[in-house]
Amino acid sequence: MIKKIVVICAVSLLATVSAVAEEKPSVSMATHSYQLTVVKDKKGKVVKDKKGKPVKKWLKASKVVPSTVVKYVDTITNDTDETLTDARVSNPINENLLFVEGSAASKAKFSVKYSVDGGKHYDLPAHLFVIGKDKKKHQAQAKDYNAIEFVVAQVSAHSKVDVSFKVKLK
Amino acid sequence: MKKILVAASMMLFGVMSAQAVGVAAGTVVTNNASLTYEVGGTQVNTPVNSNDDVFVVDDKVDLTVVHQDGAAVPVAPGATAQALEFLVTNTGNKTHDFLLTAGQNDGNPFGENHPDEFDATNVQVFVESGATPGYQAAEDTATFIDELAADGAATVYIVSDIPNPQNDGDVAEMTLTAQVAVGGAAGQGAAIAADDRANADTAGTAAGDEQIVFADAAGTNGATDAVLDGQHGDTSAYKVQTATLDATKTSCVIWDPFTTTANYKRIPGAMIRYAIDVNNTGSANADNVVLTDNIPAAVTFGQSPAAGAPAAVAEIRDAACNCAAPAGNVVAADSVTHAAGTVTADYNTVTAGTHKCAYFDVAIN
Repeated sequence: MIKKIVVICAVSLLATVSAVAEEKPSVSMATHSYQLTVVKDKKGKVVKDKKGKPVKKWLKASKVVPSTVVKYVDTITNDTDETLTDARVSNPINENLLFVEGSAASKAKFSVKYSVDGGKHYDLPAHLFVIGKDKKKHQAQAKDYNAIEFVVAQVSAHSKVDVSFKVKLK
Repeated sequence: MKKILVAASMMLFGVMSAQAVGVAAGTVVTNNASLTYEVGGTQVNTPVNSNDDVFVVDDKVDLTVVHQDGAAVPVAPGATAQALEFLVTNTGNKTHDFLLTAGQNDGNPFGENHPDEFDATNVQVFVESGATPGYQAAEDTATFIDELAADGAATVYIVSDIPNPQNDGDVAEMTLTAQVAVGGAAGQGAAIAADDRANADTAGTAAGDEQIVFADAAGTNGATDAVLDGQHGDTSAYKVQTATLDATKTSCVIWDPFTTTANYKRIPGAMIRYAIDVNNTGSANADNVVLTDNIPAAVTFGQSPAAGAPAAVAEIRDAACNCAAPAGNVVAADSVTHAAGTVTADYNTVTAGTHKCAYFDVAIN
């Protein structure tokens, strides 16, 4: 109970929160990169599908060059005794990166919204619009997103939740 | 309750370049996330910021060499400084030098029926200076590409001599291979022979920390460079175009002093017509074509001295020979002359794929 009070106090007592840092939830970030690679057999021959097209799969890449897909993983760590609700993780998307449509993921129950104004406003894709080169209003596409926001319904006490999304290096 | 959101900060350092080939090598990509949450239904309005995640964009080494000639370049036997044109493009994401080599090959990029029948000689490689389009010996003297920026391209020439003699239609195929080299300063950089794919990722946090990744395709049209070796090559070709001349001499009797019908006989006083056909089966025009013919001692050039003999002919027509009934038109500029027992036929130009025929009459002594 004491710990819970401390966290609530954090609303107005920032200094107090910093003094009990071990009770504050944290969010950390990590990246993994992948590349679309042509699959080869043991003899080095390109594996092809029934239509004769080369089979490709995403493999972990150790270098990041243009067209490499990078997966960002945000880890919410709740070291408190309380359950966090409505945990919102907002994450900008670097201008050198393109969001990979449909890549937002988590094992926890979550929803996701996107922003096309650098994170000032988040909304569902259907409600996002951008002004095109033709100076007309267009439905925003994945390439237009420059920030993403996950809303995790709850993070239980002393647990971790990962949320992730993929971007492609321009 | 109104949610308090604080957008995560994002920083970008480093030099940006044209996006056509992707983010420039050495660009530092920094990102972080921020968290807001509720406890017991109460918004905790202190956003929690994550660590900065940083990576450096690595050096994607990629290039293409593409021949620019739409067909095998026509050359004449013995011609010197004949140029094949290629375009070398830096499709990677960093400025590099490119080293250039030319080699003999048989890739047959233009589907020739007789590929690579000879080797060109005195083979050299030069980079277009940009001063005057097309190979200019006095201007295009650089032998490597210096500081080619990402998405940049340079025209390169293979310049060779053509051996003489050489048959019409013979083909010599030549491959240009570009090798990526260290850039960043004027002058020829060292070749980059290996990349860092086998080395552990260093991640890096600042420009200059990037590692090298070869992304090039294997050479095309018989170029033997492998995939992911920091090289790329393509092949073009020279094709000899020359005239191939055949000469065929025939004769027919056109008159004798005693026969009143057309069945003339080869008797003293009779007139004989010689027809010398020159056939150019080559692919180039033959110019200044001159043929000499020493006529036999038993005949005399020109009209027979016998009474009633027809006027003698000495002319060149623009068609294949037909001794008894010459076809085609007389070419006024061409001539058949005689001096001291030697007939000289000046055909001037015999166009590729055509005949000309020299007709001249003699009398049997």
